[in-house]
Amino acid sequence: MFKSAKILYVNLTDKTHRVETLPPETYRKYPGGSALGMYLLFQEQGDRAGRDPLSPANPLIFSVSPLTGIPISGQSRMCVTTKSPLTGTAGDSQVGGFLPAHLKGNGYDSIVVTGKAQSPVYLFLDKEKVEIREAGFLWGKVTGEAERMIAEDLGTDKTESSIIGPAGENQVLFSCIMHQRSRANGRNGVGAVMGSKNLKALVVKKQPPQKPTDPVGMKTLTVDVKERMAANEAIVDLAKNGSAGCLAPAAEEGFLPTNNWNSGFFSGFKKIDGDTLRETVLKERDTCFGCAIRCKGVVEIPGKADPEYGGPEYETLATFGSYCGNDNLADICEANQLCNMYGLDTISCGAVIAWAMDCFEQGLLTEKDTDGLDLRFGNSKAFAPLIKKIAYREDGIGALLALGSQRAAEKLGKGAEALVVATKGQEWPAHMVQFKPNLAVNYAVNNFGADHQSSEHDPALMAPEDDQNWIWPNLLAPFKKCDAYGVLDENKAKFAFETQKCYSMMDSLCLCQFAFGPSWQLYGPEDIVAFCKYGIGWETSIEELQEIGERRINMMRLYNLREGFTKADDCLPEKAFLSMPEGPNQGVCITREQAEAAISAYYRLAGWDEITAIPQKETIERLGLEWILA
Amino acid sequence: MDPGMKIKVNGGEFMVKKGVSIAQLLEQCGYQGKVSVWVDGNQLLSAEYPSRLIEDGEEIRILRLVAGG
Repeated sequence: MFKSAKILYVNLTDKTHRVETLPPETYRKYPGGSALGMYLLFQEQGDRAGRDPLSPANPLIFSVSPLTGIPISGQSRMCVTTKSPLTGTAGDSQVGGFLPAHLKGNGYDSIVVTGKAQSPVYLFLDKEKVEIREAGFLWGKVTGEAERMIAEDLGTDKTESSIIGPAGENQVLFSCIMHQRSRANGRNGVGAVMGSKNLKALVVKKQPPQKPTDPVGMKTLTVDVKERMAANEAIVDLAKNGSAGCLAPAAEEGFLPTNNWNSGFFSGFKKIDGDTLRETVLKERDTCFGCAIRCKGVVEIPGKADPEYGGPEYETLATFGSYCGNDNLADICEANQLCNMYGLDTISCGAVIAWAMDCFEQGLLTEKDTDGLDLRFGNSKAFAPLIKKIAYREDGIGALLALGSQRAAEKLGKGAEALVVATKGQEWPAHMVQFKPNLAVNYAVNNFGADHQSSEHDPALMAPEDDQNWIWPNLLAPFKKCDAYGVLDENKAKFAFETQKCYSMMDSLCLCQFAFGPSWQLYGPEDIVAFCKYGIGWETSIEELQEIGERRINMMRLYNLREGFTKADDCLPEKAFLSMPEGPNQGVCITREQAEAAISAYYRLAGWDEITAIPQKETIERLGLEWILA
Repeated sequence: MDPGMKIKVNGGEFMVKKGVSIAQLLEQCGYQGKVSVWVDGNQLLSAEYPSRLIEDGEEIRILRLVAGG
């Protein structure tokens, strides 16, 4: 049964706060996370479009869900919603860890922060106690140091924090919000919005876990978790190697983005893959609240990487590794740590450096432009000084790259735009569309820029018919088999749309997409329905959950339309159409014509106008979103 | 002595002994994790990998299933 949502509104300009509730019938339509965040973003912004994302008027919204904090793997996630300074679209970023569960434990479903403090502050919550505390002494501190100083200031370490580093303070457009120094609301530049408000941290007091409505029912999902994990090869590998485990298989197929996406074949991959990381620098595995998988890697390299900053995930290994032509694992670990200290998204940061290296190799940037740094592919010694320059927006190359690759290319000119691998201004994550062509559709149409966690990946459509990877997606909709890489057709467009709805729902219910999902994960669509029932007494269905996901996608689309985005922004960069130049899958590619046809098919399936990419009236009415247009 | 059988794996020629199963071939080729297998264009069920024996001249295609991360 749905309860009301409890929303805390904090105005930093006048240092006031208030609590409001959202009725259960409304909360069920927008049940937490990204869906609730979008609902509240519309409520806060009204019909005023075109606001500067870094102005006091742009709300910064932290949301969890009714399921958050109920002990089961993969439920402690929190979404940050705002207008993104990187993309200019509806902004969306997810984080795991412990803070989400404890935010819910304090009784809040969402915190809406507006305004701007006159001087740095941090927000501290202990149930009904809401304090806006002075944070001048924290400003300029890296995330780990700030976290320690907050504990001293409060006189307790029984807290969890989300903190920005110097990059967020300096409003780097891909700065993030860090939790426990190694988990990030990484994408869309949400750290810059927090910095623009002079808000250094959100701190919550630790609270006991949530109790499920039906503890006996919950046990049917949790009691055999070890057996479930052991029976799932993907989860076994995740527990052993973290996401780093998928680097070698992608590389062996020749689909690891290399040298700023000029190739998919990286000969040095064995020096940076999951096995090497585990055997050489891994200190231990870490986890999130209530999660049995333990996918987080913690590395230690004396003098280079401190365990308190965690370790590089697959994306970071790729962006600071193959993207930059670098096979030096220690330098990747150091780059990961510096990003976590300064509060930079490791995907965008590694990718923007790879773009700069591509420009350097082609003579579009020289050592005069880079403050003397040699930015040839493979020179990982440039990472540390360059990351610092970016975090502090130092004049020259630091300030240029702090804009993200798309804006930097526009500023640089000289054809540098053709080297950018981004959509809606957000750098692409490390999954090649030649290998996983449904992602070409998703990267193009996704409302907050390219994202690898917004639809399932294509290999599920190649799975044997007795395999969970094939059975679970077909619970969402019937799909046709696919038997080769590089296939982009209407079936893939349908796969993109149907699984996007599922991922969108999970970003609303704040479920980790390594634990829950429609393919290889630990828990599938029917398990999510069961979790809703046993966790909070919500009798739902896969159909209702899919509609929740679809509603959130359409809310974002309507938001973006209001901000001036059009079909032309649903585009792919030049390098998407590269025919693999070498490696075991040499020659595999997708074409512009295939991509255009698949994107059109997506619009039809979504109930959007094929010419304008605008949701049709019937779609808006079916999803109950007329209020947005009123 | 068993002269072995000539088969094709992902387009390349490959020699295997008689009586080798798909599961053994996958191990021999170093595949770890989930894969899909087609024999002469027909996809196998994963339950068939241990029992399906390879026959002379068959064309086998193996694709890795690499998900997100």
